Amino acid sequence: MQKRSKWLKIAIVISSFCILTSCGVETKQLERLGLITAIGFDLKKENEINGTVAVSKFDPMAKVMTNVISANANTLQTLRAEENLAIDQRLEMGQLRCVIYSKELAEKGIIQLVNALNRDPTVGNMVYLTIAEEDASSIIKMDEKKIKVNIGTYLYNLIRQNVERELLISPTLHEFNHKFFDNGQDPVLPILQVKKDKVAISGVALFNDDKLAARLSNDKLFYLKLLTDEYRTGSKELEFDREEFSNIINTQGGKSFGEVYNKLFLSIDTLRSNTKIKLVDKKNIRFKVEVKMDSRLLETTNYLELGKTANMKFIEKKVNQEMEKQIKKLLLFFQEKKVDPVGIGNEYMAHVRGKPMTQKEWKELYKNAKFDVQVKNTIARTGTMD
Amino acid sequence: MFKWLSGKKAEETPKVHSLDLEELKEQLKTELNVGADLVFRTLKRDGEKLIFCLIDSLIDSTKLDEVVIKSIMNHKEIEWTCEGISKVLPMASIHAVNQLGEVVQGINQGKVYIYSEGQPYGILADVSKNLVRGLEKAETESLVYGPKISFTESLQSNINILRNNIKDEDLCTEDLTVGRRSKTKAKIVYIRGIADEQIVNTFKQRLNELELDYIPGTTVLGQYIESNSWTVFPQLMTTELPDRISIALYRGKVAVLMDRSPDALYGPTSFFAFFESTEDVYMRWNMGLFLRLLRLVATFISVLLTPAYVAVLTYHYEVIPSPLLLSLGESRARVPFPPVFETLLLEFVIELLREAGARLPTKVGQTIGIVGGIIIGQAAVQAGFTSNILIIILCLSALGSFTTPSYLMGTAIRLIRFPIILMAGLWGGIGIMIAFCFFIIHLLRLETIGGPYLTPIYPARIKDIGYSFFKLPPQYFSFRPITNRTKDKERFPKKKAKQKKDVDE
Repeated sequence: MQKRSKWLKIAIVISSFCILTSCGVETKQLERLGLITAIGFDLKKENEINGTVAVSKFDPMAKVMTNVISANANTLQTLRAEENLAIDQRLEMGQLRCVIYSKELAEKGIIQLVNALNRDPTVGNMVYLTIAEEDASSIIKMDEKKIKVNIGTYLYNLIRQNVERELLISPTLHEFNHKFFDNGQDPVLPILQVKKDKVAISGVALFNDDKLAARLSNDKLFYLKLLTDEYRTGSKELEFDREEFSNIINTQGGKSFGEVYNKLFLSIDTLRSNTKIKLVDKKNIRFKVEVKMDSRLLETTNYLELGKTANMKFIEKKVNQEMEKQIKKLLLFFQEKKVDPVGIGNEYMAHVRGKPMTQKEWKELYKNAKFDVQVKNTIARTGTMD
Repeated sequence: MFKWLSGKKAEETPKVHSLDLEELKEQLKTELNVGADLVFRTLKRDGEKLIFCLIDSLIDSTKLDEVVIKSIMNHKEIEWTCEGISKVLPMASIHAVNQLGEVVQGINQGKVYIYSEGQPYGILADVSKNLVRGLEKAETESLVYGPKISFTESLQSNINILRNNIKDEDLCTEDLTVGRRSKTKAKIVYIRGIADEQIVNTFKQRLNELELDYIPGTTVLGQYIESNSWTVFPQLMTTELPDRISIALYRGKVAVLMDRSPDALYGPTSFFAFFESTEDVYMRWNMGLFLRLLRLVATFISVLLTPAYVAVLTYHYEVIPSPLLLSLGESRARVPFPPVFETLLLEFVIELLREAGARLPTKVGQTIGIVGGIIIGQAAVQAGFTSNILIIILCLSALGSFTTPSYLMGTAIRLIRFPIILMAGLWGGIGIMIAFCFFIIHLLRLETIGGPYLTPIYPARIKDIGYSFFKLPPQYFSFRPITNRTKDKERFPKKKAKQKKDVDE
């Protein structure tokens, strides 16, 4: 009896092995695939989008080639099917690095296309989402000879490098989803622009829901990142009137230097920051924004007397005031455009009990919110002097 | 109940050999059947006849001439009786016998049978010649650091080396005979008071219950006494290093040595023991730790790297990082086979090279290495037979499997790679996982001489991890491995080890 059950077991194992083998997992051999590394979406006309893909493909005879294919469709699936007809290798999304939406499309909403990426298990969470200043296809169609690498890889490196240098807020699919589905925060994506055969980041797009609502230039981005994130080694240039600093400008024995500009520019770097946003008054929706920083003063356009403590205190005060002003301006700008990339809504919702708030309800309250901004910057070092 | 026992006894009824010399000769000739090797030498004195019976090829003829015959001839006054002769023989090992069976056995072992006609007893004197090769460096387990002496084929000299290493009165060497027909001598070696009796008894029981005609060596003996003979993993370690045995004995293990076998067998040995080298012990602890971890990582790579290549290139192209994507794709694009087939082909080539190199004499073997490594490797890539990245990966895993100190375990690791590669080709990452889990479960279920095979990991013996996985500074090893359940648990007093005294204290 026992012997029979043993044989039965072996038979089950073997037969299940055979059956499962014949189920056949779909093989995707690398060299037989056309790997989409970047997709650009444009709004073609009503109810139709135009998708352009950059495809890396491997040929036994030639080096790695990038093909650009373009097609019109309503959904991502059919778009891929259409494009598949135009190439000798099977198109796959697994190596997607960068997605570009045209500004026109972004103004009407992009969530249906983002969702298509979300549902595809082969698409990673670390895909970068971007917005094109003009049409997306012109970026994808950029001549590969001029940027030397595949456009997908180029864009990926462009964004990653800037995110690592803390010049950009990370625009991954994961982060977009998080901020989009979060009722108290709105997503932010970088804007790409073709400049003289090169693609560059020209600013960031602020979203209200999934619709592009406003844009922010690169220099303002610093304050946005300061509010949403922590800096480890940031840097910032600040602009002042020279007159205000006349007391501490070192004239170097009567000679005057640095008169190229009629203003005074300070540049601080190795900046570490920590920002806290607190709901101070629930009724009047008043927030206190506290920014703590320490940094190094590296560059000034005029010689400053940095040896004295009083002077340093003065500079710190000036920097604080300037930053407070800018941050306040930025927050009011956000309020005006009804966008909340900082996540102030989250802070509010964390302190108010009751039913979970919808995005709409929050935006109604957001209009009347007030902010007190306090920046505490310590200049810890002033660079090496001989 | 004892029917079989009594039956066997009846077969070997004691039989006194013939008292007549001519008849004795005939009896021996028929019993031994060794042709001209059986030599008789007769001495005569006043009608008395003394006969020496021996096998020519087994004895040391100078010993026979100088010691036995000379001393008998020089003492003319003695009586040629059993007592008389034994008085003049300057030898320690002599026996008085008269059973035909014993005489035959004695002569077969290289003794000389001295018999005076008409006497009730004759004398068996040991004049055997043992052909021993000199002590040499260890061949299969080569070392950079530490003692390099290795065991030889002679049990006697092996025990001698071991006894010189360990001058412990508690070192027990119990005699055994292995092989019903070959009657090879063997010894169970352990240290009384350290080795667990249960382990010793298990060894004894398994060895005594063997009913084999002949066993060629300890490696084969190990295969007969281990618990699971279906698995690829060896469960008992064989080594040719005497110091390795000494270290093992003091950790509470039991060794078996066999005559005519240059390897000693010892156990219980867990899976991780096969990755230990004596070098780890002799080196400083941090170097030993590094080497040990290196070996474990190498093994892991060796088992999983090629399957991972197959799985990634056949199913999971998503996980390839973009800097690697281009070079991988470019080198794969020229290969006409699917990745599984490509990998199996190249693995086959590497195994061929290894086998060819091992079978050939050293000088030709090197040529094979060059031919295989450079020419085939280079040509295969240029011809578009394989991708060059696969060659790198395969060489890594081949190297990884060669780092294992135990040759048996190294081969086992190379073997289990093939099913995993096949599964990776069938089901990708899931296939690797299934195959790997199968092997883990299999290892968990294995046992070595009644003990668990994956021991410091499962069952977890955290203290023992320092003995097999990691190494720690020597003062922390005041205890013997817990898994071996030694009777004497402490190696040295723990507290004293931590004091560092100066001369004047």
